Amino acid sequence: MPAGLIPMFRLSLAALLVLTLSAAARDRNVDETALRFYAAQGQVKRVEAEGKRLAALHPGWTLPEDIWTARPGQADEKPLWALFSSDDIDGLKRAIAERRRAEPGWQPSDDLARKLRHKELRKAVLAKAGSAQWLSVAELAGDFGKGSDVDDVELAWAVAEGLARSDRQPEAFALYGAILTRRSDPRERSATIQKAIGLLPMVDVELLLAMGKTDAAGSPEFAALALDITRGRISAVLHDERKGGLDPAELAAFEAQARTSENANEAALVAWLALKQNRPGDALGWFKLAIARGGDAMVAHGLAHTLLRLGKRREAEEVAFAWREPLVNNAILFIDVLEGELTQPSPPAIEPERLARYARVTLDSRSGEGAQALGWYAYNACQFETALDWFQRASAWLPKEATIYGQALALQRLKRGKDLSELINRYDGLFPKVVALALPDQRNEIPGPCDPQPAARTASFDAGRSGLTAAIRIPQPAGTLASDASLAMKRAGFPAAVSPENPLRYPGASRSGDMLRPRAPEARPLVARRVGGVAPMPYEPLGFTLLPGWNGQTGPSDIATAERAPARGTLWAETAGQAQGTTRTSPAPERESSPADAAANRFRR
Amino acid sequence: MTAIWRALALAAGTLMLIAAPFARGHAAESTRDTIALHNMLPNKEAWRAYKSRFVSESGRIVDTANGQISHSEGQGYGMLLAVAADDRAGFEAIWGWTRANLFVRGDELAAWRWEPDRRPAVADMNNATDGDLLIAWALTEAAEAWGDISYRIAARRIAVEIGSKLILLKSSHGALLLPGMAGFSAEDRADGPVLNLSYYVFPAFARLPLVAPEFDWGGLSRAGLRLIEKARFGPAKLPSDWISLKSGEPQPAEGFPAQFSYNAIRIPLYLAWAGFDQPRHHETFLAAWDRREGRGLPLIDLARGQPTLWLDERGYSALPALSACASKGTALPRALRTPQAGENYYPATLALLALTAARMRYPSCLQD
Repeated sequence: MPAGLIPMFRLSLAALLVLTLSAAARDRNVDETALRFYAAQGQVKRVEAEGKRLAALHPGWTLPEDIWTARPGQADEKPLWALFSSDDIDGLKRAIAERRRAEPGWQPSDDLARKLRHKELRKAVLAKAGSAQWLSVAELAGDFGKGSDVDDVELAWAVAEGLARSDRQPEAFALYGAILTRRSDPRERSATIQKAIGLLPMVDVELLLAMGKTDAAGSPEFAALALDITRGRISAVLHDERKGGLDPAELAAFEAQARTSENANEAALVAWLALKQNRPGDALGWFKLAIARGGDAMVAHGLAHTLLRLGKRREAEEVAFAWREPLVNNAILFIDVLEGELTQPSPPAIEPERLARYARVTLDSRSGEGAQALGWYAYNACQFETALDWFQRASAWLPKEATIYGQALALQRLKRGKDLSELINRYDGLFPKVVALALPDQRNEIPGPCDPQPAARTASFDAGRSGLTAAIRIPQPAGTLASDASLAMKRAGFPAAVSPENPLRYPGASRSGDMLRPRAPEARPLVARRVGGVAPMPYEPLGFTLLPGWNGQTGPSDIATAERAPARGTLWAETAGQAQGTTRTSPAPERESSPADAAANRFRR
Repeated sequence: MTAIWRALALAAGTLMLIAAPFARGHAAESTRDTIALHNMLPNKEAWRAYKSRFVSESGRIVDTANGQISHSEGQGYGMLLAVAADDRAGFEAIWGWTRANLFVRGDELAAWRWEPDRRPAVADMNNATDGDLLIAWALTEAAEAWGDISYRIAARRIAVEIGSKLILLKSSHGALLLPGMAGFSAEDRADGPVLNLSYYVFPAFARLPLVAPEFDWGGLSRAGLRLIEKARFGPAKLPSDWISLKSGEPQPAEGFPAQFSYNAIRIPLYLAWAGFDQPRHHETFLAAWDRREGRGLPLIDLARGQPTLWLDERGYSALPALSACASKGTALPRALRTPQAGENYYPATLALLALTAARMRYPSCLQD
């Protein structure tokens, strides 16, 4: 047959047989063997006749689209389609390979090859989606993700989710957009919007919503999703992704249904929004409603924060305590709230049962924060044995400078000179405040609540913080003081050789099989070395010097570690000033002059 | 709608930072496809041998090739292996030492370096973010394994500190992980921010949502993956240990040797451990390691693409073996499945970690 004839003929045949149906509707029980044989031979009239016969036998059947393009050997694919229909992809691929071996040059029909590819993609994508391997989903999708094919909407949704969860939101947006453009099933369209709300920035979702139709009465297509859309908008506000809040009427409608809804999360959402918008009074009511409706520990966490914002620390403590077990956020909040009160210079009186409860949670959670708070509370109540017990636990769990300092003060009060000396020597070079306790002029300068208050000195105090500086003696000229200081330091057992390892463990260590016994050093050093991120030692102004640090650093660090602010661009730096902790300070970021090669030398092995 | 309510469950906050209660999409996925670490090192004899050689009676992990020092990274590795070996007493010893000796900074991060014969033993108050990640991850796994709230609380406190103070939220590459609190940011260095891609402990990012779901660990992980694919320098097309992002595109950082070295060799370990098993994740490393002119594993000078040093302790060969297992399904050689006597801390640790990762993610590499 002359090649030019084929298109014309196909056109007429198409008219004859109404070539409209989608490939998916093909009836695999129709025996097309003869038809394909004639087509392969180019016998136009016979194809026409066989086509009419099959169409009469099988209403709805139409001539295959690939009837003229299929290559020889494709006619008899019935067994292959059977494998295809039974989802036996491996069997189908085996059968195709066998047939190609048996009939060199044979190829499966384009229809079968395309559908096989689609089925394989579908299977692989849905499997990866099922195990939440979204990067793989996005990678597998390839061109499919470009939105040219949305016939298989389930696959398109899975691919869009993979793209959205792989930082490829613009492509996911395009795919959702293609679904809305090309598909008309209202349920599919609604589901598409709902999926987009969960996965895309709300600003993109708003664009998808604008693609909705408007019915004759003028109401927008996705009106039934109003609550979902409002939820998405509230979420955007909570993520700082939406300026200016919500339309008051929209929020009022959401609040109205949240007030009556059985679902505690609805009220909780309104509550979080109110807290975010700095309306703690509103938030309180909504959080309480959410709790009453069966809200979970996270709702309780929001309630506790709201109470704190309203200055109701006592109530916040109760809420956090009650909900400490289901969510550690609450346990941490419980510890931190009371920590703030216990460590005040003149702490409030706290009921014994509350203290006992705090002690129990501190022990159960082995909290260094809680233990040092109890240590300071006991210390300021002049109960030094108790203070020492708590400080030792705190030193085992979180040995920061203030905690070691508290432990040292307790040892000093208890006149346990040897233990005090060991502690001060262990932290020589690291904690200036602790080392200062070995220096004659820097001990016990500030009378605390347990000190006798000499009348003369008290008089010079303003009782307030400003007066405290008056107690710090101005150092005398170096020469004489240095020798005096040396003598006094020696009397305080400083410097002395001690093990640098902090041995405290609570609960005590149990043996765990054979373990290494590192060789003991020949001699413990008596002179401290420089440590990066540590301020000068208090004896340095007296003429004592330190050994170079591990990386050669000789001078003290400009900014001590405890005073360093996190880098610009971190969450902490972005929110500094808005919400600060009770015990930490974040000075404005400054450049540190310490050598960057401290980092460079790390991991020299 | 289900996506929204699932996300609502991720609401979280701390005393300092009340996080938004909705985490869209990302974080939710991460916990779903991960496997617990507990009991993934069933070779108890290997762990016993490891402890007798590298874990002091006080719970300190000793870097035997490096002046008997310790670091937060090593403590983290030890804690992970103890959970994998189901050794709670061992875990308690290592964690007990770690917190008593390294958590001296005043925040919830560990000082990174500790030297036994010095006064004081802590060498530097700076942290190493990978060490903190490893410790937080190990505590999370310990909490999952043994249900101890103290582990979960400690894990959360560390994870929140990392999430809020060490992640740069918005860069052209997505979220970035600073290697430490001091010395790496754009404020601190002319070529900052400087990153270390081997500090991206990918398997930790998949598990930290269990304790700190408000941070986008998944996004950090994806951004790290992209950086690893971009940081391919010189003829060998490998990442340097330290990279600068000053110019936008990754470059070897100033002041550090431009080498694929002791740090970066762990990148494919963490990739494989997190289930990143595609050939493109591993082929460039495998190609570099496939050289046969020397013994062991080469460290590579990136300008020339040539080896500078061969690491001949056998444990190091667990790294290419794991990459081949992950990306090609190659069985792990039997000799690597038992620890070698006389090996030093680093190769011995890497070998046990690789074995654990294979057991978790690619058990078929251990059958035969």
